[in-house]
Amino acid sequence: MRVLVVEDDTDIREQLIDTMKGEGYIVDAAAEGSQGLYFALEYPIDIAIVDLGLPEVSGLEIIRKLRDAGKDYPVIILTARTRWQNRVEGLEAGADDYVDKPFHHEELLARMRALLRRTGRWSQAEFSCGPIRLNTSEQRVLVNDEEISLTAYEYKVIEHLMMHAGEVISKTDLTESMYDDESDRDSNVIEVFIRRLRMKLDPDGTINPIETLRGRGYRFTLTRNS
Amino acid sequence: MNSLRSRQFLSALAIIFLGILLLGSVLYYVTQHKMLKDEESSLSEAGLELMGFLDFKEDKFVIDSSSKNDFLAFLIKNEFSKLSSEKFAYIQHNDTGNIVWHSQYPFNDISAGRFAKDKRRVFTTFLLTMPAEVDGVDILNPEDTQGRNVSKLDGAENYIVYARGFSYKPSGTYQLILAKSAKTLQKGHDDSIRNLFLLFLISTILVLISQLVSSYFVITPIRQFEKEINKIESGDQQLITKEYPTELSQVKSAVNALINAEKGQKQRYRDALDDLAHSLKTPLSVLQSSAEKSQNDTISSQVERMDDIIAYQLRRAVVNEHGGTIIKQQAVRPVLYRLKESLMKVYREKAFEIKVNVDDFAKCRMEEDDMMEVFGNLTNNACRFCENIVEITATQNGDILIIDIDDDGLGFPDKNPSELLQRGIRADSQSEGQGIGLAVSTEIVEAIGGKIELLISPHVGARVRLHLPM
Repeated sequence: MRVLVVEDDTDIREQLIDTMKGEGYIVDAAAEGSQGLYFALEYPIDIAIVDLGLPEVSGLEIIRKLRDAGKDYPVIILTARTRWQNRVEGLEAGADDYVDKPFHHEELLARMRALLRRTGRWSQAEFSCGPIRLNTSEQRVLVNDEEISLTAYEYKVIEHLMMHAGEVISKTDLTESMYDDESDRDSNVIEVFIRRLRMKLDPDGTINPIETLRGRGYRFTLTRNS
Repeated sequence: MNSLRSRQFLSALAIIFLGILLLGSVLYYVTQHKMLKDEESSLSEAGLELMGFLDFKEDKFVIDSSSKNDFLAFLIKNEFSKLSSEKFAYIQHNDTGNIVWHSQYPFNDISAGRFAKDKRRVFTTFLLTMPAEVDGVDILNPEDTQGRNVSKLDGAENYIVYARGFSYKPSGTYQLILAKSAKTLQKGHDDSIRNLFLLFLISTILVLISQLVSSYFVITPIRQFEKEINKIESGDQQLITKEYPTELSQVKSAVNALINAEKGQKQRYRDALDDLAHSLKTPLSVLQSSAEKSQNDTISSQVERMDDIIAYQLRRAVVNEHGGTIIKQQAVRPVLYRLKESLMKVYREKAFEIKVNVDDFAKCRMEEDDMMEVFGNLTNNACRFCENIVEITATQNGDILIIDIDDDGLGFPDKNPSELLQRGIRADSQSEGQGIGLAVSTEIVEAIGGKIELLISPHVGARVRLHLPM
């Protein structure tokens, strides 16, 4: 799950990054509006937390532009300007919820989970596709109720694929879901992770959970159990 | 006297009245004086001419027959030919007081060159004694009644008199008196008064007409100005825009400058408070987060308390700033619909309905920003506590707009719910930042002269009733 944090105050931004990473999110953080807007438009973001009072490009402008560009991921406004006029303007610009400063991190996380559930990106903390079960809060994967040992990167790849079960995911999207903006990226390693995951999830080659689509990317073939 | 029109009318009337009184007095005096002088010189000339016709024979004054025709012409010319008391002449012996000659006799007798001695005298005589040695003229003031009635006349009358003393030795000294009734002068006086009255009447009519014209040219721009001010007050326009005469255009500029300055100042004030809120809340957020990490509940609760105080005081500062501003009428419905859309988004997971029973005519004198704050706080509370429905209804009572915000939640606590309207009392101490909403809303509403009541809704939940001036 990739979260964008746009906040100009260094302390708050660092605290948010810590909290989000602690929850297993990939975090893209921006201190300025223009950088935030770039991330919002260019990265495969799942949810964004945007401060309204930003230098240069305002939070409102970021929200308007990302919505104009057709991005439909949930956006939470984080603001010290707690007048209703500001809140309504933010919600009208395309935000889905607001959190006033100062805020409890637990409350922000709860609102994020609610929004992710609401938008179908994250229906619940634990779900299954066929015999494969994913627990996002514990970051565990079980096949036929037996836990599979995965590295952090392997977990991120399978989480992203299962979250978007049935969808075609490009190598680039998969790479970006694995790394935050400060990491060195190497899309060739994706093939390695996919091969390892196939070995661990389907050692007998009976269920074929990950399909390779030549020149387009990968698709998780099992549908989500209701 | 309060209207400009009545002031203008009365001042013009006063000027006309005083002006005509002054001018009339001068005109009257000059006219009367000239008439008197003319009569005096006319009598003086006639007296001297008459002396030329008179002869003294056998102790009597007679007209020489040779000058009979000239004398007749003289009498006609000087209007002595009429048998009346209006103009006459006589000669009186100073010692005996006897009238030895007079002009009042039948005209035919004069034509025959004789006097009718038995004719009654029908003229007034005067108690005068002109010394013969003084060869001059004395004109009496016609206002003084100097005469006495010899014949039966209707009361005493004023005369203009010419008198001349002379002597015929050895008969003694005589005086010639020419007199003319002042009736003509009285007539002239009456004419003057009538003319002055006419002048006054015509002037008054002219003043009335000029009032109508000046009303159109002078009062019309002022009325237009007043209309524009009313429109600004009702929110139909922002500034005074029409063209006005020079005197009013300065007022227009001043009013527009005042409105702009006030708007700018208000915006700057709000921006400054927003910046202050931002700069205070950012470190509080850091503190809050650190307290959470270190699981320090004391710091966490103190941060919340500080946040409440900052939020309340900053919002209150904006409320206090309302004094002296022009508050325009604002429609309530658009604000409520914007809030409805936003709140439905925020509470998307909750299955409930927001009903807005407010039409476009529901307006009140509150700025949009404040309206958003009041309705935002109150509707948000209703959305938070409701089960299935939030209903907002507007009704009008005279010049007060009543807005009811109803929900079907648990309602207000039975014990003294009005305490919730005061700062620091929170019905829901678990939710952050919401406790001050009701108190701030109360302050905003009271600042514009309205009030808030806490009641029970028909849905058996809470009803917040707002009384807002229209």
